[in-house]
Amino acid sequence: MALWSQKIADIEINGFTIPAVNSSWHDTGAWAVYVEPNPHKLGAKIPRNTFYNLRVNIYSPQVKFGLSPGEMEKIGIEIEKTLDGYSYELERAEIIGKNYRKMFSGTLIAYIIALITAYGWWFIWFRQPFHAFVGIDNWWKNLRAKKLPRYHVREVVFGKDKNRISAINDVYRYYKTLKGRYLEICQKMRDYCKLRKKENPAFGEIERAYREIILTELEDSFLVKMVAHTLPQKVLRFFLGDMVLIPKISVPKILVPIRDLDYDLSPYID
Amino acid sequence: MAKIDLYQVWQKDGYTLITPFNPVFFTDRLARNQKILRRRETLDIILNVEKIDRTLIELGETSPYLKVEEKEGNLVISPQEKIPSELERTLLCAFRDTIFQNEAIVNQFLLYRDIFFYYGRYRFGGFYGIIHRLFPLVFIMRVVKGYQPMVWQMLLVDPLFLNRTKDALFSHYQEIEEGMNYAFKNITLVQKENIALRALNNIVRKDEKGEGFNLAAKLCDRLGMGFLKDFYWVATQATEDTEWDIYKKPPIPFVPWPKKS
Repeated sequence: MALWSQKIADIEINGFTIPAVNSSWHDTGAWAVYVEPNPHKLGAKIPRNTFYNLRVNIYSPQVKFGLSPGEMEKIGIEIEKTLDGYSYELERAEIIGKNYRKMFSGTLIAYIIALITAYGWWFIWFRQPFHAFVGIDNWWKNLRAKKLPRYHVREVVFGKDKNRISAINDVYRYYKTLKGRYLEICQKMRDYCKLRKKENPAFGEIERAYREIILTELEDSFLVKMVAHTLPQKVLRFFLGDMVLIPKISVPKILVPIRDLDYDLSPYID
Repeated sequence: MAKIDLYQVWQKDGYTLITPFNPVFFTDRLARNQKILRRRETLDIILNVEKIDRTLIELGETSPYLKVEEKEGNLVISPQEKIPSELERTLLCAFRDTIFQNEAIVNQFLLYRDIFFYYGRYRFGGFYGIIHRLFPLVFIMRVVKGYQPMVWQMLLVDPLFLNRTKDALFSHYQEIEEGMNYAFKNITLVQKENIALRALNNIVRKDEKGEGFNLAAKLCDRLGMGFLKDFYWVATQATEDTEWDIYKKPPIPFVPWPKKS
């Protein structure tokens, strides 16, 4: 895709296959691959007006049946889906948001005058100037996100950094000693990584991964966030309804559910 | 690259191909089709198999309709030159019926929904139509100078930008539709070995106590193939006994049933 004269930036990011028990309907008991920068932070790494090559290094513990090519491919596909979906949603929200902002920014002057002179219909006057700022946060995020589709190659490979490999193996060894419920296990793993991150900074990265996973488990689902189900939310939506029609696009985390590497497949593989 | 993953799943009687998709959110498919048109990409279909062998190549060799070539470890499938045009048309129709149809219909539905939400909102028949019907009132109240900027806003500026929104939405969804057409004309098939799939297929093949699907349904999410739960679970209901029993039992009453005296 890139022209011969164009510079291509090489960007490397790291992902860890970590023992974390997912709890959603389709991924109960699965582990997760966590990739460190979310799409918003990844967008900041890409220089302006250049293409980029993205390489995702995956670090997973050494087990009898490691990740097979099909599973590596799936990790790549899911990462692509997250990145593309994020930039797509922002762009689509901006198609409408941009026009709405333009449509109402001219009215600001009109309403400043009208607020002073008009006696009735104050209800209409005070809410419409807000439309000048519809989806302004999406615009801000889109500055970075629109760089994401300018890639040349995106690939997922096994990482070779020794520190990270030893860290993920230690984490797995510690995980084998644990028993309990899934969130407790995640909290213990987080604390373990926190203790050891001074000797090996790779533990710090895995600790952040656990923090994100715990947060994901605790936070509300997408639909609960979107649907107005409390009185204050309903009141807000009544008055500012069409501002909410331009949805607030949240920055996704790159968390791919993957096979539980601790589970012994040998009875099922002939 | 734009990729779709397909899984070759054993279902006691033969193989079937399953692709994971999100039944609630359509974003990934829209984004994929848009990307394909903008970047002129080929659509890579990643076929997850238990073990890579020459079955597909042999299938292509024996088939009068398809030509299978091996290029850099990938299998490229294309129609044979000899294929009769009528049959080709039939195949293409079948292909469209299965894969295109869903995406095309949803694409159209989303277009109309967005037009309704964003274009129809300030129009005469739209959400704010009532307020717009009071528009003559503005002229009656023209003595108030503060209304005059709003009058010109409503007459000139609003319709302009609403029309621009509508046009942008139309071209957005048209781009996606063109991408979809482009995608399904440039397909590369890539085989990949998947060990989790192999384990699941072996479980169903072994069919312990006639409950292979049951075990697979319980294990597949732990093996990172949770989307197969929706397939195995249904198969369980149709062919195996254990879980079927709950439908034979009478339901538990919400309030205690009065005893007959």
